[in-house]
Amino acid sequence: MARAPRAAGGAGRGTGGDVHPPDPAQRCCLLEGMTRLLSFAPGDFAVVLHSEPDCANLVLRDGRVVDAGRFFCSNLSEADAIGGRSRARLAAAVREAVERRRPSAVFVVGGCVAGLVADDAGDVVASLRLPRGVRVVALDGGAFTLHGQAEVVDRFTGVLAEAAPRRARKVARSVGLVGFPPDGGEATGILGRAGIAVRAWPQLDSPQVRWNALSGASAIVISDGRLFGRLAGILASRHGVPVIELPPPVGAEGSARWYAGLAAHLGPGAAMRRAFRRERAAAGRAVAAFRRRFAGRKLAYHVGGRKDFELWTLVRDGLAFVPALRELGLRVELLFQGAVEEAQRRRIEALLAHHDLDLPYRCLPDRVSLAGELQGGRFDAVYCCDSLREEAGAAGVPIVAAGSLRTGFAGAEANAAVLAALLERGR
Amino acid sequence: MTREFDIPLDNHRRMFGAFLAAHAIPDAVDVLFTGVGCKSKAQRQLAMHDRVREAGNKMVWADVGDVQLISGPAERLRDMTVETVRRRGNVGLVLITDSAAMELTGTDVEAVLPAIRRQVGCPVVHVGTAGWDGDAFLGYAEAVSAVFALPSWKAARGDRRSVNVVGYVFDRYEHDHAANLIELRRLLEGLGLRLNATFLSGVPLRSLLGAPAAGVNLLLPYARSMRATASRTARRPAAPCVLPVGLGGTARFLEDAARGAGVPVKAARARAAEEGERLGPALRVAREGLAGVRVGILADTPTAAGLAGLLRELGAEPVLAGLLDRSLGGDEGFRETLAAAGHDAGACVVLPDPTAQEVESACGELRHGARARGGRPFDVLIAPDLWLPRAATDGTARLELGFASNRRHAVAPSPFLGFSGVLSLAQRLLDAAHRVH
Repeated sequence: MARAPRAAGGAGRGTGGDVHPPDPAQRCCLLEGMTRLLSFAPGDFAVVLHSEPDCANLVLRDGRVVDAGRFFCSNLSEADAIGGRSRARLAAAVREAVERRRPSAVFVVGGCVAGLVADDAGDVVASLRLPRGVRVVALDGGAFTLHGQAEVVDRFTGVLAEAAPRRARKVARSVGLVGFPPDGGEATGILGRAGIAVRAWPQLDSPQVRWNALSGASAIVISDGRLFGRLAGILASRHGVPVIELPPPVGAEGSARWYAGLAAHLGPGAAMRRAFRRERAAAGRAVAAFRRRFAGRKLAYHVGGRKDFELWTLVRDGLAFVPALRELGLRVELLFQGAVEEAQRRRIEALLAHHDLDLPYRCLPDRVSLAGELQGGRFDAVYCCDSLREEAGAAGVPIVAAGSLRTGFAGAEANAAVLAALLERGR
Repeated sequence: MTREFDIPLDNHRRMFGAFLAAHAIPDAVDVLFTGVGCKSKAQRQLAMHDRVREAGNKMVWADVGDVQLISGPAERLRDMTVETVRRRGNVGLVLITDSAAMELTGTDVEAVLPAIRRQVGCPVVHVGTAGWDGDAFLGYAEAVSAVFALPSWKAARGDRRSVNVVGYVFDRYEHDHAANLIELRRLLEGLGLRLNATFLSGVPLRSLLGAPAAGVNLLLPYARSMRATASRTARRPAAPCVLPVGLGGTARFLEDAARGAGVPVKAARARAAEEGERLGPALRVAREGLAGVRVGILADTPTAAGLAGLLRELGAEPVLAGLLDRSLGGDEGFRETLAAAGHDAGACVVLPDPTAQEVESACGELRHGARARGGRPFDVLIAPDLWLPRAATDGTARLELGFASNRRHAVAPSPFLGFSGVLSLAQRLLDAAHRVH
């Protein structure tokens, strides 16, 4: 499936211009999402939060983060907020961040209080006289505005693309892969045998330099236009790099389709088919062996239980692994957490139609309802995030932890082994 | 060097503290009357710290967006709280918290509480958690105070030999806290007292409602904001106690508890001496291994003071104390607590509510000072799982203690309070100093 690149993305629209049904993942605020993603992103930047001190608690400060010292906060008091001093504090905080860190970029993100007092961060930063070479990007979140996680990832990766240098060394017959988790080297090996180099394969926590390298590829492959539409638009318009959208390579057949899809754009197809023949055969054997033993088992696939801005929660609306599980012969039933009203059902049906999935589904009002649904549905296993282990445990249903399934042909083999071990142990 | 726009090393505020209190009461639910992003200020902070009880179930959030803001946020709060309690069926307590932005909207939460109370059939308390200032300990104490007011204290005054402990910070259901609670009970039993209820300790609300059976409330330092009100609320004496950390700190706790409960102080001293003697041989070994070891501490004020005292008792040297709170006494409180345990701060550098930059600067001075060794500011750093500048971490052994302990989980009893805590911490320090985990 190839889609035309677009200049600007955003939640609610696919790359093909068709209206995308609402994102079923949990909603978030922009400040929450951007701080989360920027916490793990190496790079020469500072971040200024325009908020009261509590919102700075969204900045992760544990040992996993790159450098918590890059984050600053306007630390608004109530008197600042209602006394008209918030803009001055924002300006001072940005100056302080620039002086202390000397970054090449400063990202400014406003919280609810800044929105309520109608501070326009973009306006404030535009009025600042800062040293040459420092770029300040104000991200307008708006008070109490609900954002989709996919939209936040889209804005984050768009910001990275905006900040990238205009020139990059071009590598012929090379691809940049965006939105695909690491696969242990399989794709690099197969594409290499087909004469295609992987120019860049950044993850959300990759250093900026890896994102910058994307513009040197002869084509970019993205897993989901909703998450990477802005990035794709910038790469296409500024660097002339064609963008292809392909669903992630999951399962034996899904992986074969992914490589075939690439070959359709980069060619030649015959060389590509030869390149993955061995892996495809091994994956096919593993899938067939699994089906002989476990076909017909019932698996609940839980969606909407997480707000961690992870690819596997967000790509293809969190449904990316459904085809791989169906390929294994499992009877998949979808459990959507979030709301139970009729309007939600209509949204879900539109979503399933969009993804061409004809599957039974149920709506859960909240996470604690999962145990009851699992007990009532007599499921053999549930695909859900690890934080739902108590609910699944209460129902006696084993968990396939979301995020533990892998992509590619080797992933198909590994997934079959993991699921077989789980189903053997049983309830 | 200004810190006006820095984010302190510990930036947890009231909202998180109140959430922590809800987490410590298994049948409580925290309703976040906030915008959509505030979930991550609360639940996500605990997600990796407590690997026994998932924190996500403790919280529902009103998801106030611009639509709800216009159409009536108080109605949204009422409806979703009632619906949540109805659906869950086994909610013992509803705790409603809010944010600075909600406060600015002028929504009157108190006005909607009677309607919620009428419909949910369990206690509903509101703790204002606007995050303009304060810290998590204040939010926790305010939530504890609200829960403390729920029992029927008008009942006949309880048995004076039965005591409640108020202000225990129970942040996870792992074996560090389980062991601490066992140790607290043991310490009090050693004085002939019975521990009745502990606010909070991972027990459901109905257990806490039995608090009036006790005659005295012992207030740990985290309940310091309740000192003025606890005896009035409970119609019983309330006795402030130090946190029992270290030999001297625990001895002082026993004395405080004895005074509060009317037990002769000499009984407490005798008990402490007896325990000290029991631990003697083990602590001699620890002292041999820890003599002269330089230690940095990042902890809340009462814990930091207890640890500094313990280090002196073990022959080690506390050289830096970063106090990770804004409400528990600061520099003065640290020194007073340390003095109460029979120690002084000596040359220890004390940093109240430090930023990373301030820790970095202090470490730089410690590295180049006359007593520096091997280019390190200290040999061991006792701290939670915090991002720290390299000046504080390079070449230094880490002992993870406090909130958040995302990497160190207590699968076996490992108390840090009382005499059992002295042994457990001595062992961990010894292991860390000699890197023999």
